[in-house]
Amino acid sequence: MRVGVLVGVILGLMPAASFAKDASPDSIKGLYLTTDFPALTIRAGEEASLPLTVYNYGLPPQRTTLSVADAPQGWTAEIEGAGKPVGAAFVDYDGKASLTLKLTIPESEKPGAYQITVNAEGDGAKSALPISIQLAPPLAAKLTAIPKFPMLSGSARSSFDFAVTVKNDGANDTTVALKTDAPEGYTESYKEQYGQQDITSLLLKAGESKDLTVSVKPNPSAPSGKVAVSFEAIGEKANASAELTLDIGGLPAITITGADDRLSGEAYAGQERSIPLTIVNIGSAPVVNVGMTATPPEGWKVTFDPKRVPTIPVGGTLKVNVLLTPGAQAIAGDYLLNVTAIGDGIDQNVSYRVTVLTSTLWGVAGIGVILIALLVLVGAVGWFGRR
Amino acid sequence: MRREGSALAGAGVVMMKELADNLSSARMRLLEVLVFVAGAGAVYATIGEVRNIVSEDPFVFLRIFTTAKAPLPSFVAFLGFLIPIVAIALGFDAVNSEFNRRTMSRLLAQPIYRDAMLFGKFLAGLATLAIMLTALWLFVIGLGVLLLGLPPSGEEVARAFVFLVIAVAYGGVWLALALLFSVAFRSAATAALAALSVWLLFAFFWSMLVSLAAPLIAPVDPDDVFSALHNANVVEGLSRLSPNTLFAETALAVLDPSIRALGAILSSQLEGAVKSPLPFIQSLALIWPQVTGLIACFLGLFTIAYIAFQRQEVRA
Repeated sequence: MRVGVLVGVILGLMPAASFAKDASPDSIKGLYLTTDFPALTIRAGEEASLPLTVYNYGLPPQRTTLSVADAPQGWTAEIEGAGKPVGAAFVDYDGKASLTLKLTIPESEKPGAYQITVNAEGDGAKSALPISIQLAPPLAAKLTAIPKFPMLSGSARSSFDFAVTVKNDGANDTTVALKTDAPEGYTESYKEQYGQQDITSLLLKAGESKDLTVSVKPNPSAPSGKVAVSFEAIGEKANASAELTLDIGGLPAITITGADDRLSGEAYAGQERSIPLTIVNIGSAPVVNVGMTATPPEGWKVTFDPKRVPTIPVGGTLKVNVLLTPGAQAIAGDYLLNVTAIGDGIDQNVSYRVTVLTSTLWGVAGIGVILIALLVLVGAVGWFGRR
Repeated sequence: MRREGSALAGAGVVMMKELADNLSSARMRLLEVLVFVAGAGAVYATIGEVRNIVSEDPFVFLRIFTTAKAPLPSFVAFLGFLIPIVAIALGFDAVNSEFNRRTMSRLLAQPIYRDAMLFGKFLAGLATLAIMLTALWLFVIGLGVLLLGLPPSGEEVARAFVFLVIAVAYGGVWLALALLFSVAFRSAATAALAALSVWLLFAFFWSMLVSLAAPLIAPVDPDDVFSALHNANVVEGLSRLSPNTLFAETALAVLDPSIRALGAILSSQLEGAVKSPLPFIQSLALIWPQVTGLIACFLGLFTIAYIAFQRQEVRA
């Protein structure tokens, strides 16, 4: 009796809720195939997946055959259950089965309205789900390349490292080849930002962007000025380019050569010898305040004529005479003489190989000694000669 | 009574006769075998060594002469040792044997001057020595070409030839000394012993005597660098009085182009120096004083022998 009252109270308290819960299985009977959004817009060339659910209300557990009808030519429509293509599902009494419809629409399909129907057919019950598809034109393949700083400054001997972000705004993954149009003698290389490896191409997924470092090394003899180079990212269907500018400042550079490009010569011990050297400014800025020094061995004397010049213009040459006196006690043979030209911002040094020869004067003296000995002999022959 | 005509008239005849005697004598045969066996042995052992060590040397051929393979000394050291013995053997009885055989007056009864006889004998000895050394030199070079399988370069041949000339000059010094003793002593044995003792003195005892004498002449003060240098110079000067030292230094410098100086040098003189072979002419300039010394020495010794002989009574 107490239980009956309690039940009555509960029933009295929630008459509407209890009715609704109990009423549905009884009033709705059958097989239902449903999806969340039966009308959708997709792009040609894209792959779309729709969640499908088959409900069994009040029917005995049964095998439900699934099929797709009205799919236009060229479309692929596949029903998957638990990740695998399936052709039927088993739905319990008052149960449901979750499925996925995978649609692949060829890129060439015309935009417009299409309709396909998914059918679920059980044991005496069936359900059809019409799906309206509004086909949008395919997204154009698109690449962008945006440099962080489009102009960098440096010298002809420095490396210009541009940070460039390459983004794939297209619908498809694409391989991107990297290229730079730079003047003759320039070298370029590409790295992923913070990467170590030099790359020449990269794979960009749809919507992905990557930060690259584009390094451009000018020709060391490049004149000062602004040089525009064009960086290009070449995808399979789209290209992107970025204009990069190198602001090259001038830099002096010199070479020191001897006569006939030889850096060796001979000198007699203790005798002054003039060695002509040629200094050429091969840089892109004038060399200012050039002085010559040398580190000769002890006892040697080295002076320069001229010792110092105010400037050597770009491409200009300067002839310097090195007046070299090897030490009087120098031993015959080869010596290295370091000659250095120092200007503002430059310091060039060459090793000049000096072959020291000793005077042959002592050889003559030796012959003199032998002659005297011979004379003594001849004198003795003359003096003591007798019959 | 003064002589008429050239002192050398007839010297050629004496020289040819003496040369024939020298080359056919049993004494020369023995010496030739000795020198050839010693030289060939040294060179053969050396070539094995040269093939092992120095393949990158531009003057690898000259190494045959200077490289030593224990227990054998180098070819140059062998020659420095053997040339005096051969020269002494050729000259020690050149003049006194004529007296002992009582052939001197018969010889001088011929229409030749006694100058010519002495010149002829000396030149014959020198020619014998030169023939022997040239043959040995060619033998060594041929052995080198055969066993090393590479021909010597032009400069190597030039240097080796200068070495041959020096070896003959070195032999000339000892020949002149032996001739002097053969004039000075009537007994051949005395002359031979005297010459051999001079050879012993220079070959073995000279370096000891120099090391004893040098500190007396130039004492070394531990606090004074220059006293050490002075001492080194004195040692050098004294040891160069020995023809053996002159020959060793000369042979070494002409056969090893990397030698740039003989004797003591200051380290400051080597500042900035690069190791490289010396040009041939510079090597010659380096050894020229020594060569001068050798040639002047044998001329001087011969002059003394000549004067001594001219003043002797030959009719006894």
